[in-house]
Amino acid sequence: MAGLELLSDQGFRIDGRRSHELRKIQCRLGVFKQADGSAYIEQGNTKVLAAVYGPHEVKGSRAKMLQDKVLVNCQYSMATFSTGERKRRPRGDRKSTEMTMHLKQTFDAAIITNLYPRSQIDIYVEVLQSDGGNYCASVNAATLALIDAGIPLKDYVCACSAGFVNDTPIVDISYLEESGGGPELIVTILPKSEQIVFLEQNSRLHEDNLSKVLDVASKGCKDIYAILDRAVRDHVSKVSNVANTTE
Amino acid sequence: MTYTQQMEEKLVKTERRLRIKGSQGKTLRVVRELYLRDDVPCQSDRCLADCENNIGMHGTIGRLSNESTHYIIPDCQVARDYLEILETPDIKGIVFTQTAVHSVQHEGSKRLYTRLQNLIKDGRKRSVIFHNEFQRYAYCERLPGENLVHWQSRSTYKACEWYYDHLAGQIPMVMLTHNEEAIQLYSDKKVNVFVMTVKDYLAGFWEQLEGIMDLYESLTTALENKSKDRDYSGYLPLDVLEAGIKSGRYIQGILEVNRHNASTEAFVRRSGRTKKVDSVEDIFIHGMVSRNRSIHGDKVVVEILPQSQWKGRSLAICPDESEDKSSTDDKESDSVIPTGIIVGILQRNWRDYVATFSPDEESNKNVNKGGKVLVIPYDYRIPKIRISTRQIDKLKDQRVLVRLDSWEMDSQYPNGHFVRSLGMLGNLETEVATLLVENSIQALPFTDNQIKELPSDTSDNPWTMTDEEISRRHDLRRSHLVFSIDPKGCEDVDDTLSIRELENGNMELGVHIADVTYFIESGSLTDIEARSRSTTVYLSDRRYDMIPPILSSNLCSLISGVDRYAMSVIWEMTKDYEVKKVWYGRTVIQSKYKLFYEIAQRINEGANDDEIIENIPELQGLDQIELDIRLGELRWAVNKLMSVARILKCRRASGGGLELDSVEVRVEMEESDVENLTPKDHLEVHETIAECMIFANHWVAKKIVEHFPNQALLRNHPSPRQDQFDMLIKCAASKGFNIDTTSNKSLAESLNRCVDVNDPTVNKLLRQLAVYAMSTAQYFSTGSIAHDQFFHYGLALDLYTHFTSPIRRYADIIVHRQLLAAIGVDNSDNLPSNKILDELADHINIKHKAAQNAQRDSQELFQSLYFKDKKPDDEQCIVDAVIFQLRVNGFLVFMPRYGIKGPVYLRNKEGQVVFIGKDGKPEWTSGTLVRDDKSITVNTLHNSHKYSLFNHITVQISLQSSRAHSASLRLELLDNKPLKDDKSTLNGNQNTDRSDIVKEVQSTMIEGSEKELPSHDLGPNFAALKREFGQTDDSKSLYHIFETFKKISLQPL
Repeated sequence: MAGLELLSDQGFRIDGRRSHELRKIQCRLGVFKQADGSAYIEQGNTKVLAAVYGPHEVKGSRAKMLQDKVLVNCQYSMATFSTGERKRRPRGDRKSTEMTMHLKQTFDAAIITNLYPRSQIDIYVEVLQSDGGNYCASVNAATLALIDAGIPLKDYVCACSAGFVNDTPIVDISYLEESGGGPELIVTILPKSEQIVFLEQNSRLHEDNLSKVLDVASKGCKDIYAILDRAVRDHVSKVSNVANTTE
Repeated sequence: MTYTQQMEEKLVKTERRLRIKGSQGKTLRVVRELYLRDDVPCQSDRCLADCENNIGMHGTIGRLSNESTHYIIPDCQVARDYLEILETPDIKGIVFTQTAVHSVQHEGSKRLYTRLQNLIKDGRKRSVIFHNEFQRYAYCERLPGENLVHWQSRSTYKACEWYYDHLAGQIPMVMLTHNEEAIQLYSDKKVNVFVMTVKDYLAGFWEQLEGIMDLYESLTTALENKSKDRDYSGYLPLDVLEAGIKSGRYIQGILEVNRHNASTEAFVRRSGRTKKVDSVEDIFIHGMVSRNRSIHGDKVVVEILPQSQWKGRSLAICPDESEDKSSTDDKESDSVIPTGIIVGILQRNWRDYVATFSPDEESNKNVNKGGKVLVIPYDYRIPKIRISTRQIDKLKDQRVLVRLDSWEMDSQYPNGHFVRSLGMLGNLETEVATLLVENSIQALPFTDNQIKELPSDTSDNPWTMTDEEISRRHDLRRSHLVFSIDPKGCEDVDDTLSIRELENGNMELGVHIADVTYFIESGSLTDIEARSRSTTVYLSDRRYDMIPPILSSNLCSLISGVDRYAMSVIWEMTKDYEVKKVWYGRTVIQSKYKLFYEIAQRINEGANDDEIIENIPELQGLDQIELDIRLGELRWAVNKLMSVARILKCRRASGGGLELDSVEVRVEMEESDVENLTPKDHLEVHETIAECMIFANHWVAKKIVEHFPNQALLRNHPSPRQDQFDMLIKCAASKGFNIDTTSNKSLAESLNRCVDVNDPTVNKLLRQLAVYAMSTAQYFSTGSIAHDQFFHYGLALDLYTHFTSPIRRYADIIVHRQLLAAIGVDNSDNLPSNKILDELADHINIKHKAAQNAQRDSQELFQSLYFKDKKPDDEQCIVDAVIFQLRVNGFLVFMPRYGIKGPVYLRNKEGQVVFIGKDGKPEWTSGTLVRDDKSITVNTLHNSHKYSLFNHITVQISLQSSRAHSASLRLELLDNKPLKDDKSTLNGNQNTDRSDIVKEVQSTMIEGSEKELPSHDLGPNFAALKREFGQTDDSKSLYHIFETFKKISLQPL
């Protein structure tokens, strides 16, 4: 990896993007009929499917039930074929447990939980293809699925990662850029209020540069918001057209 | 919304499928996305399509110029194999495609890639990298089953076409390839897009360029002979090395070969930024086999041998030609040191080497068939190099430039190729060129484009200040009495001073430095040139300027009576000399007086009016009343200035400052302004000026650190390791002195006590030894080392930088820019970031070192030329010498008369020892040498004689000439007593000092060139030409300043 130049002098990254450019995002809502809400998102070569069930009664042990708010239940998993080499990925491994916890924390903060006391919302996320930014794509997909399910949110939840190479922050880093070992900052915000819901950092980054990288990541989140919002509006108008014609 | 739309219009997503070999040798199928876009800049000045060309790092400089007649696009193979040709300064306007760059990176070597990057970064080359694989219309997808080479040449041609179309056919494109198929396929496809081989290209376009064909030929032959094997077979694989280094099993470091015993002794100096004291000593590498084909300067990995195989280093002073391995054993000392063998090489650090063909005709017999021949490098530390050449007859007696290519596992010598010839052996110009190359100094004349950027100042078009600029600056022309104190006849005055009393009774001291950054914009051609030179190089007989003379000796020189722009630091001090306020900024000044040291000192000592007027032209021709006023002013200013400096110096010295100015000349050269130092005598006023400069540097350092805590350029001087002082302590002890090295203050004090009334050289030598023990001061970026390492040991300051000589040091230019940004005059956007600054600091450090080495080498060169034609019994060859170090077979001596050091052998190769017979003549007979801590004793049948440290002896100097290497001086013992009438020689023969050496050598060289080399075009006019074009006037050369230092040191106390 040593020989790779993550950012050329002219400001191009390995895949031809400039430092502030996101990967191409494509998304669809309502991909499944069975689930209450579902969505599919592609961020570059990272492809994620999310399904939402609920709100419904708390299943399993009733001890988990919360009296004042809804229980958010998440499950993150990666497909065996999601990486270059096929690999069995058991559900309960450390990495996916951690990711599950992160997702739960994120959506606990974004869903208006006090509307549904003593009930449960399930969010299932499956990574079909992994090429960096799995958490971000998962959050974005789950947001769309929650919207599709009609669950009240404070705002869209948008996640974006950023790295720092040659004194320049780079947004939405791919697997190749992640594996270089440089610093990585993952930010989830509520774009309208610009509140940070979740923030994670890997590897060391000098304090002086933190705000620069954070700004870039938040800007990325807002760009993602614009894309998600348009996808939602397209979807809604399509659905209402269908409803109109069937009437 | 706009963002997303923009994205979709601009970028097209595709995918690239790759097969990558994993670490376990498994092939992995990887899919990487690739975004194609329209807005990849073409970086050409001819662009008509509004490309965003200013994105690159160097602003407008690093792009394709519209002066080129064509642009060149080399394909992958050419970029790899013929990069050296493309590096030729005359070939400009090269477009490297991304495809080619990747190929250099992956299929070439890391070194090659670094060279390519340096080529791009060099603004003078006007060459760029074009990201063809990101450009929508220049990208071509690799078809399934398509051969890599085929795809690469297709991509390259497509990039060619794109450029041609993009620039609307304004300029022809040339694609260089060695692929016959590609030439056939593409050469006739489009008018003005040429596809040709390097050979055809050079023949067609660069016929006039001398030597380029030779270079091409030698590269081609070197390529033909290149075996298929990789360079690094026989070494451990890289991942094993890396794992070993991490686990501590192997150690990485830089190989340093012992110059005096190159075939057997080498050391690996541990590298890494952590300069901790506990990182033990260096690792010893014994013999060529354990050195395992590494060359001096390479970054290597060593495995330490078990302790039973450790060896000790030889303590003998080895004659350079000794290859006699069997005799080395008995010389080895008992104390063994960690020994290792080299198991791998991380990075080759090959540079250009100067070499000479062996005089031995036999070895060159089969050469005319283009066979291989061994050449002997100038540097002793480099092994012989095997090159292929067809021009042996022409080059036989010349010094040639050689580059290394590889070193095969089964070969005794490395392979290289011939680059160019430097000239005939023994010619002064050749020898000077040789030492420039050996020190990696490039000193080409400034180009027209660089001169064009700068303002001109001719008699019909004089340079003037603009009112606009003056209004932006603080005008000190009326309010301040500004003057400079320099050596007599100095032309480039870069610092001036002012002092005055304020109304509130406080003192105001000002240091005004030439404002070079006003003329040299960051990123301009002159700036790039100055950066790559980093410092003005002073050789014995000439000088290589850092910035063009129009600036250095005219517009930036703060001469008297002329308005000049300056950068000023002005302090307001209370009556107790405490700094109350400090102001930094750009000013306009007019120096009133250009004083020289002696007169300034005389003014302080109370010289009478006539003497002052006579020596200061500015005061002549004034009427009496004005004269009195101005004299009064001047006297007051000089006296006040000296008293202020005295206080500052005291304060610094009491804070633990090593009194450097008396420690040794060399350190002083290092630390303060050379220009400000004494030409004649060591006067107090020298210290005054030096102190003011140190004060200014210190305060500027404070300011820039405050504003740029992570990217200020400072200078530190680490405290020396205690064990380095061993030699000093031992030597001093032999004379009964005690040296306390615990702190810089105690060291200075104990050095001051070491005075032998009868022998002034003792103190001199001890001080020199103290200087050897210290490490040199270095530039660094504040972001890269810890805050507690910023201090300067020698000057005893917590922060220090260089600010006062922007004309001859590039570091000062950077500091000026940082200071301007810190005070808000300039914006800080263009300042280098910590990473870049760190690299730059390293670069400047290396260049400074190289400049010093070149200076030293040129002195040695002139020494040897001086002694060349002297008869051995010439009075000038027999001198007094002082022993300062003992070795097993002799000792090292210092000759105060010439200021030269050298070895004296007491035992020759046959094992005989020298002793002084009854009649006072030295004789060689069999005998033994016994060495202890303080003395060495020669025992023979007849008598024995003891030589102790600091004994005076008489030696005879003769020249040991060498064909392939630099000539060296041979010292022979003549007598064990000091040279008779020693004192009178010292005083009476002051005229035979080093400046005379230079003069005499020059004159003989001129004669020589007349007689022996009629073809030499400078010929008989050389002296006249030199007067006209020579850069340094003899009287101003730094060499002469050195000279006077020597003189000072020679004067009896």
